Amino acid sequence: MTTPDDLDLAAQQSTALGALDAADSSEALEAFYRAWLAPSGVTTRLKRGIGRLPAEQRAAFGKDVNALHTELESRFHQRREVIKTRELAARIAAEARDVTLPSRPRPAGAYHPVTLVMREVLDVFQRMGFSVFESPHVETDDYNFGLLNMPADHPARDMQDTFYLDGERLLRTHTSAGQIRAMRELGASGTKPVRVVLPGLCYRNENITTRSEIQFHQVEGLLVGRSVRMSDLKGVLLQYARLLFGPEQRVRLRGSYFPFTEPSVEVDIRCTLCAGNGCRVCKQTGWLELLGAGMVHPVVLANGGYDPAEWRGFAFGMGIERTVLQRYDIHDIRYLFGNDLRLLQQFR
Amino acid sequence: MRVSLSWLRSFVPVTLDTPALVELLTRAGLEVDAVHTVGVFDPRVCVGRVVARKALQNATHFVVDAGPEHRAVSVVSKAPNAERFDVGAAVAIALPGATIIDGHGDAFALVTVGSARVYGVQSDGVLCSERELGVGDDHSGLMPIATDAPAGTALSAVLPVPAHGEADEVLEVAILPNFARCLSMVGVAREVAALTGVEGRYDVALDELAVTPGELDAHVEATDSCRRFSTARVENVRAVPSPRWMQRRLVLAGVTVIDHLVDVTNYCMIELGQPMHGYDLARLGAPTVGLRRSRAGETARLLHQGVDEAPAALPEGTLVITAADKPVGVAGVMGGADTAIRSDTTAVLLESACFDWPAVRRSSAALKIHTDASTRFARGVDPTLSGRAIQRAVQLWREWSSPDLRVTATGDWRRAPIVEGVVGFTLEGIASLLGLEATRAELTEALARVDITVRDAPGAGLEAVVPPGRDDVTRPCDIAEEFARVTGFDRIPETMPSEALPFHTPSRRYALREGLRDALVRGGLQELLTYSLIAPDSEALLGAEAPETPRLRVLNPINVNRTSLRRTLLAGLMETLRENHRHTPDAQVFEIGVVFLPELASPYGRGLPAEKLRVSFALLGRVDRASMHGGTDRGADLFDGVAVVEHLLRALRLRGVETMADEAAPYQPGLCAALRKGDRVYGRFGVLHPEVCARFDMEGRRVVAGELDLDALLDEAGTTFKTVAPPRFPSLPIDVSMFIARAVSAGDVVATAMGAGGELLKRVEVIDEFSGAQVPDGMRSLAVRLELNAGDRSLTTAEAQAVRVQVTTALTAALQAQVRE
Repeated sequence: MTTPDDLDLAAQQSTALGALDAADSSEALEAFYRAWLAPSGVTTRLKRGIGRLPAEQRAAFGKDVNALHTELESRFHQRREVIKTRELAARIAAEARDVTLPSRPRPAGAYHPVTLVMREVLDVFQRMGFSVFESPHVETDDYNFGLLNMPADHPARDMQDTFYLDGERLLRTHTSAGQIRAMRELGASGTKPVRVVLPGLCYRNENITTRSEIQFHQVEGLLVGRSVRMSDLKGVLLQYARLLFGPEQRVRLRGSYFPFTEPSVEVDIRCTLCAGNGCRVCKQTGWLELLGAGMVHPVVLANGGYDPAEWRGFAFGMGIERTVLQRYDIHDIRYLFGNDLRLLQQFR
Repeated sequence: MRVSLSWLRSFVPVTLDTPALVELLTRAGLEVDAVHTVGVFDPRVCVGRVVARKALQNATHFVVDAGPEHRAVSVVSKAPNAERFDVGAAVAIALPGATIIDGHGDAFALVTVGSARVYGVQSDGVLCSERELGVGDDHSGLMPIATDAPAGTALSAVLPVPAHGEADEVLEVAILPNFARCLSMVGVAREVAALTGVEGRYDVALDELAVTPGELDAHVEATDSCRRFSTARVENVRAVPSPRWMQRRLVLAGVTVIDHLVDVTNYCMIELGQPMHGYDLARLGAPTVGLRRSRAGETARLLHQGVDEAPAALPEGTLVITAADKPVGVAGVMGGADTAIRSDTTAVLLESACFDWPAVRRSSAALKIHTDASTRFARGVDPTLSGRAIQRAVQLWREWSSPDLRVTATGDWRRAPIVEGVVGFTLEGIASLLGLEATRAELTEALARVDITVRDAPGAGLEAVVPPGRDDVTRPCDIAEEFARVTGFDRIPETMPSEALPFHTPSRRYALREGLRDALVRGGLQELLTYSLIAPDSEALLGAEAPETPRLRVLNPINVNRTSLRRTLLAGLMETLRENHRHTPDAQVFEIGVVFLPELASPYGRGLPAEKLRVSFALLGRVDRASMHGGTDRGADLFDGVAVVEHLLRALRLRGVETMADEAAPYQPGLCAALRKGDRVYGRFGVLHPEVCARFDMEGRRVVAGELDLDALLDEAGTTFKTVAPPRFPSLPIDVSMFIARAVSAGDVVATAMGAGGELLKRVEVIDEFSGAQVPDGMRSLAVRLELNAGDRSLTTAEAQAVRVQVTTALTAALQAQVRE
């Protein structure tokens, strides 16, 4: 129903603007819209009531109503922006949380630290052109000892306490056991060069203590060619050390003994903890033992199918666990295969 | 080998300080494991300042400042001159752990300083006399120290050490098998001389033996085990204590001092490297000895046995020394108790032989007796030494205990003439093996230092003449090693291989296996590496294999828990959970490793067992965890196991593998599945039977686990795959509910629906399972969602309805489903 009062547009405007100012939330603003601007709102109603006006007033009134609608709409939009901004700010303020509260649980797995170091070593050697060659854990006495120039009763067998399954079969004591297999399988009866690394689990019959275990991982390297020199061994291991530990690394060779290499050496690298200045880990020497190595013994080359007069090679073998202990400051090797989850989960 | 530096200096001038000498030896292959210090050289012996002094009834109580870490050391001294050391006076204090020389008695002995209560007072060290410090003879009281040095200064820094003092440093050198010659002072001295380029005097001057009247024929039967067998009959000897200098050298070498007759044989062994044995001729019951293999049932009472003990059984074939054909000792290992030298001995038969190492190694291993002698023989003894050692022993006896001794007979059996070795080589061969330029002059000079002579070979090239004791030098590569060792491995440059070598060839199996390891870690599982050796009893707890299943046992296990090669990884995982679950109640673990199946053939042949790669996992405790932010705790269940398996299959790009209900230990019936493709079963997984958990001390805990044949999975795994273009129109979902017999698996429903749905049906997913009062007996309610998509256009309602009818018709016909509209 349009009353004469309703037609007082100035009053209407004043009422509307008062209501708009009073609306201070999105909901109130919505209500204002419904009351005034929606198709069911006041401005529409006013337009519909136009017919009851004398004909000469209709045009002017219509224009005024439209002006009112436009004005209210514009004020409404302005007001809505203000409210939106205010409400967003309020919401942001309300949502703020203490970021130091605990996180939500999320499952996380982890590698065994031996895997981490083993992979790192293999990755470097693979980048240097070595292929991965794997051989069995249970070996014959021949592959583990005899063919490596360690016949029965050889003094070098004292260096390794062996788990035997019977007189002939044993658990490999070193990955060198795979050397002959690699030469025979990849060397094509002594006609092709070989460049492989042999990773794997090895076994020794030792007491389990903080420093020694009955199983451990080794990586053996074997390179056979027609002109391989001991200086190549040194160069390859220097490159390895530099790829792994940085361009400043240095290596040094010390005399040693392995029945399957001659000459045999221990290879040291600059201590990675003290950069060679001397520390507890390197026992103040500035050097860390990296691995044992040497030029493949002619007997071993011959057993691998090569003519030692024509072919030469070098081999090296390193333990993984020692690096694991050093790098992660683990003082008891028994944690590694004892699998104390409180230790292993630190690698997550 | 314990190398006393003072003894070493008697053979070779050593100008290097000890750390430099240690470095030199270590780099040449004689690794020094430890340096033992004695007397004034011990760093725990230092300058002390008297802080307080108090007289006790028979002694004096001092409080001594011994440096920053020992400001007030309480020490009790019984020295008569203690009263003369006032507050502020310097004393020589040995702190606990220090090694000093025993000041009492005539015999040389070492004392390790400890802590004790003396006359009711704590004493944490020793205030030393000259003799205790090893700098002089005086033991009448504390040694006055004239120094301004602060308390705690090492005494060796302020006290001059006389050349003939008894203080010493002893290197503990690890002797590698090819350094057998360095199991002697002379051997080490030769190395030091060679490495430092100085002249040594390691040839002990020996008198020719004056022998009266004749030959001594030992009965050497075991000629295959002995290169040389020297003997001497020496009469008119006396077993008196050895001179203090000899006792000292023996003690520092780690040898027990007995009497001069025995001590000299030990002294010769340490000095020259030749083990010897002296028999009391009166007790031997024969004029000479023999050498043969023992016969079945023979025994001998050995030196380390008590007089009342029954003689030790000798394994048949043991190399034995005999007298009148009766065993009186194990050759190269240990002599007999009944023929040993005693205090009343006046005539000795000396045996000094060169046994072959295999024989001695076998005796030593069989009898589990390891002696200084067997250690040397096991690595090879220089065959030139045996005669010289006898000369040396006689000389030493004559010089001290037995000036009037007579050598009444000698014998010297040799299997073959002892000759020098000759090794042909070329200069180029050596240089190219090492990658190092070398002139003939350099080579000749270096090798001469280790007594190897270089000369022209008869044809072309060179040859090296090697002393008989160097059995380790027989090939050109050995010559190269000696050259590199003596001149220093440092001289070898760093080069890269100069020929074409094979490139890295990726291994498919390696890549897939490591990819799987990555995927499992990404999936939230913790990797384990457990022992390959396990107790069969532990695997039996799983109840999965019959007890008589063949297993590989090691002959010499270290303990009962590590006796056999594993046939499953699950037992190791369960052992790990058992050890961890109290402190780590939630754990999701996996292992990739080999198991050993002797019943299957190995590709390596030769009776080796099949080694099969497995992947195994175990989930214990919560997989979802409540937190302060909400959420609920949820323990792992069967479907977490299914998720791990599906994750694993996805990582391996394996398609067409089915999960089927199964029933097998160690899984709980009804919660066990097998993974298969066609006839091939890859393994099983499920919820472990509650009894299995209980057997692993986890009663009431639930473990979801599985073990799969990774070798088989890798055979099938794909390294790559083809993608499908994403549809351009959204999929249309249609839900179908049904009652279906319990015996029909959800997998069958999905497979039947997929089979019937035609091209438009892209996926069928089970979305609900329900059992209850409304469901007919023996049935359950299942709901599946059909996902329809025509790819390049939208589907019509009629098409969708047609697919639904095809699917429901098939479910009704094939599986007797009662489809609910």
